[in-house]
Amino acid sequence: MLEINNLHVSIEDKKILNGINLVVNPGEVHAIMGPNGSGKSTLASVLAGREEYEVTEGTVTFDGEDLLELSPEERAWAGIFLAFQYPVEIPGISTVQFLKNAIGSIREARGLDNLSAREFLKLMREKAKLVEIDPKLIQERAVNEGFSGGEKKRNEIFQMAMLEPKLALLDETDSGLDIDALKIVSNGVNKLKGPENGVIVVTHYQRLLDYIVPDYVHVLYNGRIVKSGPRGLALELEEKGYDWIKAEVEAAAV
Amino acid sequence: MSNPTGITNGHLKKWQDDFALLQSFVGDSWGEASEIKRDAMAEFVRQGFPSTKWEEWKYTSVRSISERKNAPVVRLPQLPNLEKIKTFFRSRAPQNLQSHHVVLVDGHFHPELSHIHEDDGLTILPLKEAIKNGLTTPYFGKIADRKATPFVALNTAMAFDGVFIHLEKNQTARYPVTVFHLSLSPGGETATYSRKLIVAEANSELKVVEQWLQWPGANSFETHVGEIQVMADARVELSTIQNEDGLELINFTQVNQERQSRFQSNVVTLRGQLIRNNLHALHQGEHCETYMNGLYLLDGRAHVDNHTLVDHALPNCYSNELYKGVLSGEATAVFNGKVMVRPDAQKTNAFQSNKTLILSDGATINTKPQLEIFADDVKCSHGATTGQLDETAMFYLRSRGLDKKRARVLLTYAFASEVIDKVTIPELKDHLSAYVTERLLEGE
Repeated sequence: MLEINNLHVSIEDKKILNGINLVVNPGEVHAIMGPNGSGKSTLASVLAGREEYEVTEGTVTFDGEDLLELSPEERAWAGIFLAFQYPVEIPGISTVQFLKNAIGSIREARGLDNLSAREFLKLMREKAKLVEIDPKLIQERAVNEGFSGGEKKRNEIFQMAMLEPKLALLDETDSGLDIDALKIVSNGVNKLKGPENGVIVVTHYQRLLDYIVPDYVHVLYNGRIVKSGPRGLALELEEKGYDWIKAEVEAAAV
Repeated sequence: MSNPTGITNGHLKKWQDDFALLQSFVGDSWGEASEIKRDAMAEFVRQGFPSTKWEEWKYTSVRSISERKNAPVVRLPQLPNLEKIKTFFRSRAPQNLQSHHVVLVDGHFHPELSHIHEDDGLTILPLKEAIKNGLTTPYFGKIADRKATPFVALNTAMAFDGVFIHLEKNQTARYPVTVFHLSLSPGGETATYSRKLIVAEANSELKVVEQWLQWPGANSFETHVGEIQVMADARVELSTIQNEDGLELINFTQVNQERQSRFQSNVVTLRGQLIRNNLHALHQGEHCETYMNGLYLLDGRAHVDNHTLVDHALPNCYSNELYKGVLSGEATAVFNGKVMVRPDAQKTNAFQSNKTLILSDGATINTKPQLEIFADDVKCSHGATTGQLDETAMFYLRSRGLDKKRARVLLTYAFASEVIDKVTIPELKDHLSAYVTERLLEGE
């Protein structure tokens, strides 16, 4: 479904990703871990189409299509969703208004009829229940405005649930969540998982992976995937920290 | 104020001649106002037209107006076709809004186009009739200071009609009053002078909506003066809609507020060639509340200048001002918000905010908050920001599938809606939302 090949990315002439290779197949959950500043969030942002980043080398295909040629909205139409590390506050519009626009745009791009008001409402109720988000928060309040950290993250997962993406990118979705919120958010993600969907979980800590169980764990360091392995790798990282990875990489470089 | 305009007496003479012409037509009906009008004309001649060297007129040039030959419209003009006019209104007036309709055609109260329901305690009359009957004596020319700007003087001298709205004490008007300022300007270049005088007696509640309309081909320079007396415990809300490409309007509103009264203004400007809105509120009693909201959403070469003044003359009053703008093309906007807190006005709470989105290189905003505080126990704040749409927010919306255009429209709408949301008449709010959305989509 997603194929990343030798991806190099810079921002303002500073190299951040230095040759990423990664394949995600339908039904798989991949965790990207790594110390701060290793390029994890950059990878998620580049896949979603953030324009400040410059791809200097490499290719990314999504369902066989050149992803890097697509605008952020075209990627959303194709089925990519990024849950932001820092969800944006948008005063003046409610999440529901915003999602009506989003779903309308996506369905239009896919040549589908828009949902009726009744269908939309039904979908919204169902998904709000799934992620246990207070309907008032999404109907009466402006998008993320004055939300707590946990409410913002929950709202991201609610939006994801509404848009039913093929590939979900979760960027540090666990940061700022207490354990109860973490369970709810993870539960939301797990219910959306299916044989047709892929998930990439970007996280610094392994605790999220107790709830969203990955098929593969990749360690990103200095803009490169330096180690990949099964779920056990995450537990090893939890126990030993990142220093041994750094030591390994530096030893190999000598 | 001296007259440093360099505009010759020859130019002022045209306006003096117009005044004489009006006097010969309708002077008799001015009654007690005659003296005020002569005095106002003298005041206008003394001041002359403002030049951009005047601080208050620095960014709005009226030179082209002062040199024009616009003729005053001395009598109610012949209507083109009643059916056509009705269709025209239907296409522009707020839908579903049940209200008293007042139509001023080139400044003249038009009885056939106006429609006034039964409403206890509410009197709506042509201003000239109210003047003739002596109903306006305590107010006419006494609320708006003709020394404040030359155009108040000019308008006070020249305007002899408009609308008089009076609500008795303890009454809540059942319907809002909608005043349409329709410009037909028969025969081309005309000058329109109109007034509104609103008196809300103690503990009454009134909502007024006004909209400027231009008949296709109309070419008129308009001045309008609103005088509003809000008596103790009364509540008045005035919503102003300006949405005509060719509108050239100098508009002045003075609100005098008595003890514990509330006044709210919502000024929404979506189109206009040259618009100047002065909105002045004076507190004549304690515990007044004043809300001034404004939205200017301009494109092309539109120009709008909002000058506001809240005069906190007495203690324990509250004012809150929110003006927001969205500018594209080569539009220019001016915001000058003056808050005066006089020595007696202890425990004043005064807040002001002006935010403008600039969406093109050619657009300009000149913003000037002006706080003059002479009391020491007060809370006052002001803020002015100018900027572009937030890139991170754009990316957020686009990453959820909204294309660039839709994302821009939604974000801009969200920005503007803060002002629209202040309007308390639901039908009007919907109407304005639709107008704004339409404008934003058009701009794309």
